[in-house]
Amino acid sequence: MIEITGVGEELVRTWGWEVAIYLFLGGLVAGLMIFSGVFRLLQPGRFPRLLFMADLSGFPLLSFGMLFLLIDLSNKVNMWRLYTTFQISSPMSWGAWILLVTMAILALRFVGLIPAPRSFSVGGLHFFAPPPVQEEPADEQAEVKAPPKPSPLVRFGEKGWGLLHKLAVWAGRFDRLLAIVGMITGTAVGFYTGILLSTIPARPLWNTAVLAPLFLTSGLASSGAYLCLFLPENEHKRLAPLSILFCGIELLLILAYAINLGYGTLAAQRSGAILFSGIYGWAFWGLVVLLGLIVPAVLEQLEMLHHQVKFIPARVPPVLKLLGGFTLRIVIVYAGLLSFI
Amino acid sequence: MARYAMSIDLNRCIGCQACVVACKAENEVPLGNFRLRMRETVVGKFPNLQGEFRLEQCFHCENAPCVPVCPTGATYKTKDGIVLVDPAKCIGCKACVTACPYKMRFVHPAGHIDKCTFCDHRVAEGMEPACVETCPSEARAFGDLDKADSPVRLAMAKAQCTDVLKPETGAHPKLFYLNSRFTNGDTENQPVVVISEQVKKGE
Repeated sequence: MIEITGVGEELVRTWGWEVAIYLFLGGLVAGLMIFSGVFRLLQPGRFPRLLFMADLSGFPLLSFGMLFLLIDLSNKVNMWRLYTTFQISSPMSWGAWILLVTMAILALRFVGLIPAPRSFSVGGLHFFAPPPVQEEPADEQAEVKAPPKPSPLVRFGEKGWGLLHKLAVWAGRFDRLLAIVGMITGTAVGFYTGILLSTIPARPLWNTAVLAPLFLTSGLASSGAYLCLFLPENEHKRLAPLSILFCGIELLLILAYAINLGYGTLAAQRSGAILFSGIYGWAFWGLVVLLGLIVPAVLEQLEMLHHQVKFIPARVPPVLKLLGGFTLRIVIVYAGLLSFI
Repeated sequence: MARYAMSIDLNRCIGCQACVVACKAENEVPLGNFRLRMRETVVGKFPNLQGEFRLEQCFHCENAPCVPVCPTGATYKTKDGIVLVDPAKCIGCKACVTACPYKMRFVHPAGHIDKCTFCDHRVAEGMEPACVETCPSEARAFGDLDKADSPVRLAMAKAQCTDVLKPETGAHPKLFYLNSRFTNGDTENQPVVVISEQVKKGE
């Protein structure tokens, strides 16, 4: 028997669900950027709803993901230190800078949705109100009344909207460039979510080159599923073959991952046993592989062949895929923390 | 420029944990946290038992996996080979905690990451680390690996065998275990009981 006194290994606090949420949302947004970039460049005007949803969701979703990264930091007051240095050997430093560029592009896309300023009223405040028509004074001696001064809130709102619209018009001139850079940074973010884990040799479950492409593919599958939730049926059906393709690639990468662990060192085999059996095994095989990949791919294939299963709504496969994508991050993070050399 | 290292003669260690206490007092390690931990191994069947106390702390690896992963440069290696954390730069991302193959880092209640420093403030004054100075059985030795007459080199020269923990990581730890029966032996996979869990619960 071995007894340990002092700081027990099992009590060391490391990463948890916060990081898993970020990894999921990061992958999802990466996929949105890649999808929107590809469709903007190759088939402009063919998927308006898809592009709108990608532009609308990217910025808030990644901001939400980064909020969880912030929650995970135990010394939040020093967070700004990330942006006063670049540590070339640190994947997290690379990630911080890549996220900054990505957020800028997503913000421009989000702002691009803001329409031209127009007159409207909220709570008695009139924004962009047309100038009042001056009536001819009855008496020539009478003073001309100056129009009432708008409140500071109205002036601030009008100025802010005006500026954002100008920014949107300016960004609109670089639509193709933004699409190309967005695809590059999106790929980088999706890849980075895997690289962050795979560059830690102390955790054999993560320390494999398969993880980065697996997370990127899973991000693409998740983003496709997310977009399908909002697309009209005709656009949904056009996306289905792509969606099935990503499910297939993800299954192949999972197979490669399992073989990699099964035929690896003793540490890798032990790590594989943590992921592929027990509670994590149920979640992995049941929620990720079966319900998250195989079942939705089969349902989508049936839908393509016009054999849609009547009692299963069309929104079920995308929801299952999103659930599977999130579970993949959760089980890999938690099982990886239990793996050791 | 030195290459500081430490050795623990496990034949001499009596498991009194004076080093654990000395470290806590010297470095004001907060309640519930420890920079040192003791692994007590007992194998065999009564009355044929064999035992060993192995003290573990930051191994100040030559090829420390915690240093390159730090995104702010808060974890760094001094020119004397001591691995340190700068709390003013640490954001508490826990990348280093995850990367340490020995799980010897922890989150300080103030938010930054904490671990053994080889008592660098004492070493700078020409003193030994608190754990070495306090050891009643002189199991510990500290010094410059590059100097043949340093206490650590002399202790290693006298030892029957010298081991490091998990050599397969390639981290090249600079805490050496002398005359160990079990380090890297078959007992690594024995069930583990964490005593400090009871301490945390206040039992």
